Amino acid sequence: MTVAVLVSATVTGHRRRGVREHDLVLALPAREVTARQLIEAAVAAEVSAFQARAEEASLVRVLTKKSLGADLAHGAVRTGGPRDGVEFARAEFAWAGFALAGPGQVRLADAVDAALLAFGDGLFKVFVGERELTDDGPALPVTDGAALLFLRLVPLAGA
Amino acid sequence: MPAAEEAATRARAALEAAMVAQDAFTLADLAGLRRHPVVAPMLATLVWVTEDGVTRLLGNAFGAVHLTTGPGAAGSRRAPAGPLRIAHPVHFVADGTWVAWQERLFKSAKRQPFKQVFRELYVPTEEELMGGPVSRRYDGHQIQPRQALALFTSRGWAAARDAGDAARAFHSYGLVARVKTDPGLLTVAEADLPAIDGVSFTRRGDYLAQPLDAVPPVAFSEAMRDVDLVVSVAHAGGVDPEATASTTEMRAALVRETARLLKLGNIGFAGQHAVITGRLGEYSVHLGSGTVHRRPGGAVRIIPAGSQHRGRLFVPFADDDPKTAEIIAKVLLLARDHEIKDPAILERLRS
Repeated sequence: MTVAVLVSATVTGHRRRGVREHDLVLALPAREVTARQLIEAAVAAEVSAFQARAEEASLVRVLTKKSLGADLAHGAVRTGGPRDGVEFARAEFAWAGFALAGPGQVRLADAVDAALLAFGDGLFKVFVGERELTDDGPALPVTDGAALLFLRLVPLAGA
Repeated sequence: MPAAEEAATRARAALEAAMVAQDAFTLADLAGLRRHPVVAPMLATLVWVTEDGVTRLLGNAFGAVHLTTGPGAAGSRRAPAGPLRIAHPVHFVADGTWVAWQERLFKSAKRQPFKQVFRELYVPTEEELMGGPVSRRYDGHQIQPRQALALFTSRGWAAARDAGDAARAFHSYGLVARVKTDPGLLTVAEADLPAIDGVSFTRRGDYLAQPLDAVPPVAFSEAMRDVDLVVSVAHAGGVDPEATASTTEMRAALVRETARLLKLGNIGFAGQHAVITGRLGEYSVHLGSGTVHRRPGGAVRIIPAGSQHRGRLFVPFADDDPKTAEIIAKVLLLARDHEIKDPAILERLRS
């Protein structure tokens, strides 16, 4: 049985405000959760949020004074709608069997596989509250209001 | 393509190029263009900017070219004092009219010959202005080389094999925008995907990057707009990376939180650096560039290994920025330097 759990994921957001939190609703097993189960649920939530944003991005967005100020501070004001050159590139590559990215093209199963593979390779860490959730460690309870941290890493080498 | 449609396509491209180049149109030029059957209706839907930065539509009452209304209430009809240019979002921000122009155009439902009022705008961030002449905004984003080349070419860029970069000349400013990729777009092997490695601007025929605050705002915006397009569409993950710049303050906050959770007591901060007291030595990691130094001593060359991007990961990361991930990984590695097994890194730490 799965239940919907409202958790907050730490994200770094607007400059100067430092770390903030955003809410995620995850479908999780009712009791303790393994790393794999938590990652699957988080990926599902991210993919559906992404697809909603992608649909929104295909519409032209009219600026407001508030959004304009915030966008300028981040260095980019995006307005949505068609982008130049994209149709050209689509036509150019259709014959070669290439597919360009577009809204709604993310397969959830692929996204989950990619995330689990990356986790197995140590490309990110997961914390629930104060505790790290590992592949071989114990399952942890994730309840309403739990704080999650997904920390991205890269493999390093001497050069 | 029928001849009329072809002429319209050419006219649209020419007007967009005139906006990017900020070509000046005299009243005589405009009077001539208004007799052109294809161009004339296009001129009426574009917003123009005067020498002193006022944005207006063009009118043609009484047969003479003049400036009419601003975005809000009706303005006075008057002949412009000097030449006019096709306005860029840079000008709408400068005279505070962007929101009003968008609302006006949206309500009138008029189609512009190219994306002008709803055009994307890119400006240097505080971090970019402080961080030297190369913008690192898109660094680490991997792209499909063939798609990227097609997109770059369609936007007037050319890839050079010897320089390992793609370049777009902004002739009217005497500037060239350059995007480096590693490996180069033309030299890339099948299995390797090029990653963006800096966007910079040089004078023509020169490779010395100019400070970003010296780059004319229209040229900066247009170059970054093209790179953003390539990164969003030809990225190697199948979905939009929604690239955003990360800052050193946010990285410091994340390093602090990570150290607390992992109970690593040997990580501190000094200015723009994380300072790590390991068992084999003391190190600093720069929160902007990720450069590692041994204290006292020189730079320690530790770099991201291989392809760390295997497409976008749909995980709600605290910070998705590849440079942030590199910095956190370095801090964690050095905080437990006694656990390092990689002989190449150990050699670097000892030398």
